[in-house]
Amino acid sequence: MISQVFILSSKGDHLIYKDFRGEAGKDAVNKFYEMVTALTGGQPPVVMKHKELHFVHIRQGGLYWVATTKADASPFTIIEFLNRLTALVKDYCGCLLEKSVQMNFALIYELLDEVVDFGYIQTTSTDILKNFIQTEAVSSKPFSLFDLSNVGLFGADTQQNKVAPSAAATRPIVSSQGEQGSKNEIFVDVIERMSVVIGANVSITDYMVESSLSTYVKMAHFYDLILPNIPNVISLPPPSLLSGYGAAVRVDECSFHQAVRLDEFDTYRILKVCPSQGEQTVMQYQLCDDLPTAPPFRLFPSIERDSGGRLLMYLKLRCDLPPKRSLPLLSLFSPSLFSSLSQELSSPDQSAELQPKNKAVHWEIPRFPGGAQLSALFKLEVSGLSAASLQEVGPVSLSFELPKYTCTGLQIRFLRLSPIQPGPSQRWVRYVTHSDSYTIRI
Amino acid sequence: MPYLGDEHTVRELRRALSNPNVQADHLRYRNTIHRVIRLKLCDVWGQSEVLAVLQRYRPRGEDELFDILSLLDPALLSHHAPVMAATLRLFLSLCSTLPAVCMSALERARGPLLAAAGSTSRELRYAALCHIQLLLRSEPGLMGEHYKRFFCGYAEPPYIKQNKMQVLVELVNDDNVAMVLDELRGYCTDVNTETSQTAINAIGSIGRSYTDRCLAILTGLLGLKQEHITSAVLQTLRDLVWVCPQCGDAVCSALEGWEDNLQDSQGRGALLWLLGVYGDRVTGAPYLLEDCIDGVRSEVSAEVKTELLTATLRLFLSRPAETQDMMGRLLVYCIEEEVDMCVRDQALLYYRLLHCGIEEVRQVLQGGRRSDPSLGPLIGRPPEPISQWASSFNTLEPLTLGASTVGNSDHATPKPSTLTPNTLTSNAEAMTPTPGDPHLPDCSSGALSLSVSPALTPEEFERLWLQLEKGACLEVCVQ
Repeated sequence: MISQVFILSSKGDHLIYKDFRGEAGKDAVNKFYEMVTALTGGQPPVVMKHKELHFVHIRQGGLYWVATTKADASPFTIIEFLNRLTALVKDYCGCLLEKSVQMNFALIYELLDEVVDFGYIQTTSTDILKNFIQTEAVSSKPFSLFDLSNVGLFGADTQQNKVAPSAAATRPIVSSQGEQGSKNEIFVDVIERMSVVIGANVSITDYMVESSLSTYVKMAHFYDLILPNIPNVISLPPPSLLSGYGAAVRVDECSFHQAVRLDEFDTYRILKVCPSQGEQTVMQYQLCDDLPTAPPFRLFPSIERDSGGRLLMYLKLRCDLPPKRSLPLLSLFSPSLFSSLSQELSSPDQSAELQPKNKAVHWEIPRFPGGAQLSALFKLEVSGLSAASLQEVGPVSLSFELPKYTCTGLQIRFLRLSPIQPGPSQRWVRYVTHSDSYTIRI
Repeated sequence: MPYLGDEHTVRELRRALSNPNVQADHLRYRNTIHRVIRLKLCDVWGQSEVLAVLQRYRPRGEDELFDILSLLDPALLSHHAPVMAATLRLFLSLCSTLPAVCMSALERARGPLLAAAGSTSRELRYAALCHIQLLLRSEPGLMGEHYKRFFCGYAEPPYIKQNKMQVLVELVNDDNVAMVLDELRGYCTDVNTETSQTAINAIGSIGRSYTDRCLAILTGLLGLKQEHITSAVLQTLRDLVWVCPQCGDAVCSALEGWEDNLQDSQGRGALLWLLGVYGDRVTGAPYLLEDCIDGVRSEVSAEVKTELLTATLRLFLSRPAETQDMMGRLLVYCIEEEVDMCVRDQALLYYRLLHCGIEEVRQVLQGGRRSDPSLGPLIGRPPEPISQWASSFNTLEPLTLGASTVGNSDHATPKPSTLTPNTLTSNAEAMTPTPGDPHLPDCSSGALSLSVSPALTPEEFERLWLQLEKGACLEVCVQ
C-alpha cells in the first residue's frame, strides 16, 4: 500500500509529487531529502523510517525515486514497482534524465494515475497502459533521420543496413503519428554480466555469469488493433542442464517469464512468447565456475621499487579473444594511494590519469584487438615508501563491454514471427557481454 | 486490485473474502479461497495481493493445508521476487507446526532468493541480502555451497559490501575457510575505510573458530601501517583475545617494537587495553605507556584516559619498579586537574584501592575474568527457531534493522569498557562484562568489601538532600 510517490533530483528539487492516500503531508519530501543527505558512507540504505512513515527509494538516472508507505509492506513489491516505474518512464520518454522527466511531467502524472489506484498497484504492463495514456512524450533529443539511415550512397547496400546504432533501442516506443514510428521492430538482447575474480597467483577464484535474454518490442499502433496477439518463436540451441560434452550450452539455473510457453523447449529448445510492448525479460540464467571459455583478459603485473624511491608498475594485458574481435573501450582501475604519476603507454590513443577522488589510476584503452597484448609502465611517486607499499596497490578492475560475444556460447538460431506479418518488420539480435566486476588481484 | 480482464474476478473474490457473512459460513469461505488460489492469470501485482490476503486464512485441516501448499508450490520458484517472497512467507506461517515442510520450502526458495541477490537492481539485491541473513539465523548451512555468490563486486556500494561480508562470516566452514579469508583479506585494503573496517571485523569474527589463520592475516595487516587499518586491527585483536586467550603470544609478538602514533581514540583505547593485559610479556610496554601519560593533558577522549588508568595499574602489578613513578604522576594529574568526573572518580577509586593493599588491587583487577558465552565460537551456535523471524519476513523490518547495523558493523562484539564507580550497582548487561570491574560481590578478603546494594536508598537520599540548608555539606555515613 503505497502512500505517496515522489521523484527528486540529486540536488533535492521536487520534480514529481503524488499523494495517493492522504496519510502523510507534503513535508515528507523535505524530510526524506534531509535524511538521505545526512547519511554518510557512500550510498544510503534503501529503507528509512521517520515516525510512522517508511521511505523506500531507488536511485536511477541521477534521480531519487521514492515511495512512502505507512503499513509494513513487502520491500520486494515496492522496490520492484519503483524499478518498473523507471522502466516505464524510460520506455515512454526515451531516456531517464532529469531533463526528460521535467519535460514530460504531465505524462508521468498520467502514468502514476493509471498505474496506482489509492495506493494499490494496478498494472505496469505497457500493453494495457498504452490504451489509456493520451499524452504524447516529448523527447529531449530531437530524433533525426540521419541516425538510422538505411540507404547508403547511390542507394547501395551499406554496412549500415545491417547494423543500427544502439541509440535505436532507446527511441520512445510511442511516437506520434506521421513520424518514423510506422515500423515494427523487435530487438532481442542477450546480455551477459560477468563477474570474475582472479587471484594473485593467476588462479581463477571466482567466475560467474548472470544473464538475461530480453525482448524489446516496438510495434506501431495500427498493427496492434488488427492483431492484438503476436506470438514470437525464438529458438535456442540445446542448453543441457547436466554437464555433458559436445556443443551443448551448459547453464546452472534458468528461469523463464510467466508468459513463455515451454511445450517445445525440451525437445527443440524453442521458446514461444507473446511479448508485450517495451522491454520484457524472457529468460534469465546463471552459470558458475565451469565456463566453456576462459576469461577474456589476463594481466601480468610486476611491481618494483626503483632507486629514486618511486614505484614502477609494469602491466601487461593480454586479450584472449579470437583475433577478429575488437573492443571499443576498456578502462582499468587500480586503487592506490599515490600522489603523482608518469606513464609510458604502448600506443598513442590510450590515456591514463591519476584520479585522486577514487585514489586510482585510470587507464583507458579505446580499442583492443583480439589476441593482442598491450603494456603500460606507470611510475608512481609515493610519500613514505616502505616495503608494505607494495601491498597497498589494490586489485585491478576492468570494465568493458564485448559486443557480439557470449561467454556461455548461447546463440539464437532463428527468430520467427507467427502469424506472418504483412508489412516489413525489423528484427535485431544483440549479444553483449558486460563486465559486472572483473577483478585481478596483484 | 488489478485492473482489467479477469481481474474482475479477483476483485469479486476479495470483496467476498472480506465479507463477514461469507467468513462466518465456512464452506463458502473455503470455496472462495480455493478459487483465489487457482488464479494464475493475474500479473505480478495481482498475485502478491492475493497472497497477502491469503495470510489471513487458516485452513481447516491438514488435507486442506497440503492442498493449498501444493497449489501454491510453483509460485515459490517464481523469478519475480515479490511473488516468491510472499509465497514463502505464507508457507512459513501456515506450516509453523511442521518444521520439515518449512525446511523444504526454504530450500526450494533458495534459488530465486540467490537470483534476486544477484540482480542488476542494487536495491533489490540489498533486500534479498537482508532476507538471506534472516534465513541463515535458522539454517546456517542453507547457503553453504553458494558462498561464492556473496563475494563483493568491485563497484558495489559500501552498504551492500558490508552486508555480504556479514553473510560470508556465517557461511564459513572447514572447506571454504581458506578462500573466504583470502577474499576478505583483499577487501581489507579497500579504498573506503568503513568497508575495510568491516572486513577486518569479519576476519576477527571468523578468528574465533579459526584462530591461527586469522591471526596471521591480522598481524600481517599491521605491517601496512595505515591509520584506519591499524586501528581496526587493534580493536579486533582486543575482542579476539577476550574470547580466545590462547592468541596472547601472537599478539605480544605483534606489539613488540610498536612505534606508531595512533590518532583514532578507539584504536588507542584498544592498544592500551592490550598493553595492560600483556604488559608483562611485552618489553617496551612501560615506555609506550609513559609516552601516553606524558601526553595525557592533551588527550581529549575520556575513554582513552580511563583505559590508560586501568592499563597503568595493571602494569604496576606486574612491573612495579618501572611503573611506579609514572603511575604516581598520572594519578596526581587525574585527581587534581582532570575535569571529567568519571575519569577523576576512577582515579580516586584506584588510589584508595592502593591504600588498602596490593593484594586487594590484584584481586579486583585480575580476579573474576569471565567470558561472555554469547561471544563463543561462531560454529556451534544454536540456530534460532524459524518462528522468531517468520513474521518479519517480507516486511520492511529486516531492511531497517540492516540499515542500523551497517554503520555499526561490530554490533555483535561489545567493547569491554571500564565501568565508572558511580555505576557500581548497575548490573552490567550480559553483553558487557568488563575486565577490572570493581563490581564483584564475592570479594572475600575482608579488609575491603564492596556491597552491591547501596547503604542509602534513592528516596532516603532525596529526603536528606532536600533537608539540607544552603552551604551545609552532606555527611552520610556509608557503611
